Amino acid sequence: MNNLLYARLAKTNLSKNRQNILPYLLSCIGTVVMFFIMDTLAQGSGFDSMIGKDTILTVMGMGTYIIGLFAVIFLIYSNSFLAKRRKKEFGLFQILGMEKKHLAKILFFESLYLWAASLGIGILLGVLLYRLLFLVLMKLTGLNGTIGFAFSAKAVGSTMLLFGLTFVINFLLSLRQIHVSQPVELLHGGAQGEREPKTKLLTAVLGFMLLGVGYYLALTSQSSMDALDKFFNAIALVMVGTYCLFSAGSIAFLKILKKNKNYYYQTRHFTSISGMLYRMKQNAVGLANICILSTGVLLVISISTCLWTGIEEVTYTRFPHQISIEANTGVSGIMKTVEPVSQKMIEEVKTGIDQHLEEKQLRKKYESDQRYYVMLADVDRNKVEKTQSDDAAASTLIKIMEESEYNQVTGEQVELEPGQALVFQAKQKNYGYDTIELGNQTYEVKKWNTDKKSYILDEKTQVYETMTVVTRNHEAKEAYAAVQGKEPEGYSWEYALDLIGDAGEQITVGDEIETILTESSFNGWVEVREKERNTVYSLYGSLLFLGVFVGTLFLMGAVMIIYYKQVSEGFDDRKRFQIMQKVGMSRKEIRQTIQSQVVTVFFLPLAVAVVHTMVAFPLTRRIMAMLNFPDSNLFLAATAITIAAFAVVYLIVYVLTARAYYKIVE
Amino acid sequence: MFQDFNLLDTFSLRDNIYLPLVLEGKKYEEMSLRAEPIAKKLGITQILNKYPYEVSGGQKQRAAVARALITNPELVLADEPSGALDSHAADGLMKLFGEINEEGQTIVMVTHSVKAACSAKRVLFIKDGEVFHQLYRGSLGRDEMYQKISDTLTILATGGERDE
Repeated sequence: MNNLLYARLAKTNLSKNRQNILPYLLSCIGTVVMFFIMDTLAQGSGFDSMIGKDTILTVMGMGTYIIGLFAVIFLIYSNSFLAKRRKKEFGLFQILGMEKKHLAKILFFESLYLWAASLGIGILLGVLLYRLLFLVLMKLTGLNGTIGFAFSAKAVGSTMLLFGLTFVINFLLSLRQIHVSQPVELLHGGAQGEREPKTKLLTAVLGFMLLGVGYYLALTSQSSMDALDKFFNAIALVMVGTYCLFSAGSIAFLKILKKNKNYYYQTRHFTSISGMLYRMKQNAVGLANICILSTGVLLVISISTCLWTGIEEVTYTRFPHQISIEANTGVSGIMKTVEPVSQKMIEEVKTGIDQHLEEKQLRKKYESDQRYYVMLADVDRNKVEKTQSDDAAASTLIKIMEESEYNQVTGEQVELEPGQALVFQAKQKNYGYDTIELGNQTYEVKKWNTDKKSYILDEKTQVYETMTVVTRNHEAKEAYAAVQGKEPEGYSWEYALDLIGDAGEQITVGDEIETILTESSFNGWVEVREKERNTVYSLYGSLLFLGVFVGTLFLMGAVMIIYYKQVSEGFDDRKRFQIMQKVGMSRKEIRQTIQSQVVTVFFLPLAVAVVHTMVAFPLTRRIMAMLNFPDSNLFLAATAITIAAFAVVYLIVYVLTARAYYKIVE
Repeated sequence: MFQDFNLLDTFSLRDNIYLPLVLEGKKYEEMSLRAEPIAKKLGITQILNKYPYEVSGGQKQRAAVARALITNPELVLADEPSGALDSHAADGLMKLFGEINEEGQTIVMVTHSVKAACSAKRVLFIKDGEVFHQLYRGSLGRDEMYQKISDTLTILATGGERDE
């Protein structure tokens, strides 16, 4: 036989097998499109020189990895599904006389055709959709870009490579399946009797435990830094736990139901329980996949939509004032070359600002500044010590402020005795100890109630725990030295300004301030909210874009798996229902049985996914806080709406695939 | 009862036998009470907990018989019951039919196998939808019955022409 014959056979195969191959092809095309678009975006053509371009490109680059990884895994999984259904076909060919190597050649051509088709159609669609999505991205990030001709040869190249690789892997896997099995086996591939699943008690218990630990982690996260760390661990644990639970736990549960003879031997339950038991073993992995993908969709979409709707809020949280200056407020280790800030410098800068505002005839709406010494330390109850570890997340950021400065900022009038201090913490309402030990110095803590805590302490957005200690004026340096071992080199200074003026005026003032700072060799930086707004928008806009993109991809994956499951189950069940009819079940009874089975199995992943999302909520809330998004209520609402919307989509998918299922079975 | 048994592979043999009663809404105690003697008679008590794919054709068919009998039917209809069985199992099945018949159960069986037919008390021959001959066993022995059926089939096939 020559190669032309194989090629033709391959083509006939594909078209005959349309019903099975089409969904697979569609998912290939879908993933190609998504990967291609994401990669083209990441190449940056058409972005030219925009502010925030780098942020966008970084996010898109990240997206390319995520989508690429997902695409490969998903396609391998889908292909294994497909290969199972084609076992019979391959067996038939072999029995009719084809050798394994001939079959391999046919498979090769099939893979080639599929690869070419999915790439061709996929890239074409990708190029067409790119313009649309580019516009969407621009809209979301509020930036302007010129839509250059969207054809990045590099993206085409990497797409071809990635998917070529995937197809090769699939080809090799199918090859192995043929190579390993006997033709007769393959022929009977579909009719292989499945054992009733053994109760894998160990796995079930393991599943519960893993899930429990994952949940525990999620619910007990403390600080935000802690949260991010725990987040990934929790995800891994919950994922493995879900798999174990679906495969072993559900079987264990059904078996318990079966043991209860009075329950089991009722018309309604009899066939559905045994049917589900039989199904569970085959489907556990598929169901767990659907569950995990669904959880992924819920989390990703709720986070990104929330971030998006809260952009303004985020901007205001990150930049509470129009213009702010910060000098040496970082941690000493980082800024070694900074010249210490002296009182004289501060005065110079402030005078310069006042003068400038006079010239422009702009009035101030709000102005504040404060100076203090700052350090990073380890706090254990009431002991403060120099930080030993590199783990910044566990440390506390401490401001040591002078008494008079405190009074100036808050407008209160506190008077401290020697050796006394005020202590404020961000995470606790009140400092709970009577003393505080800074290094080897002990200070008595004076009880002081104030509602101006936020003036001297950044409560909302800090990644670390923060604390402010107020001491008598000349005791401040000592306090610092007691912990750090040497006196501070200079003050840290924060300044905030709100003008009565529009965005343009704010930006001009900000620029002028920057000039003043440079002229007085003052080492600090200016942040103008209106200018930074762009950065925020480009970051969160592109995160939203990525989120929706990835969310859609996951959704597509889940739908595909659901469809395949329903179709293959339909074929398997058809024979069974014909037998049941012969034994005496009425069509109505059969429908009822199918319905209860399908409904349970269908909605179980959804239910579990929703539970996962809800349990993850405390954790995700903290991560949102880390991303400068402190409003829990909005996030709660966003999550709730996402769950509702997803449930609706899920329901629609259910109705459509159930219809396909009934058509096959009846 | 069917040639391909039509047992559900998601149920154990026991549950397959119970199925018709479950569909009628019977209680568990009653079902197990009814099933026990039948299973004993058919010799399948040991394998009740097994699944269809785990047992032989003969055993499957006997389970199918049990399923048919458990409802105390007035009539058992069997469609080519020995078709998928080897000769040993087929003989066993026919012997079983004989025993059940002696106890008063009426069985109507459709078959292409002369061997199977000759264990019956009455044989109807159907050609093109019409009954064209009937044989009663009476007190005939096995071999004689076989011969008679064979002859009838020959006439059926050749149309009655005979070369002397």
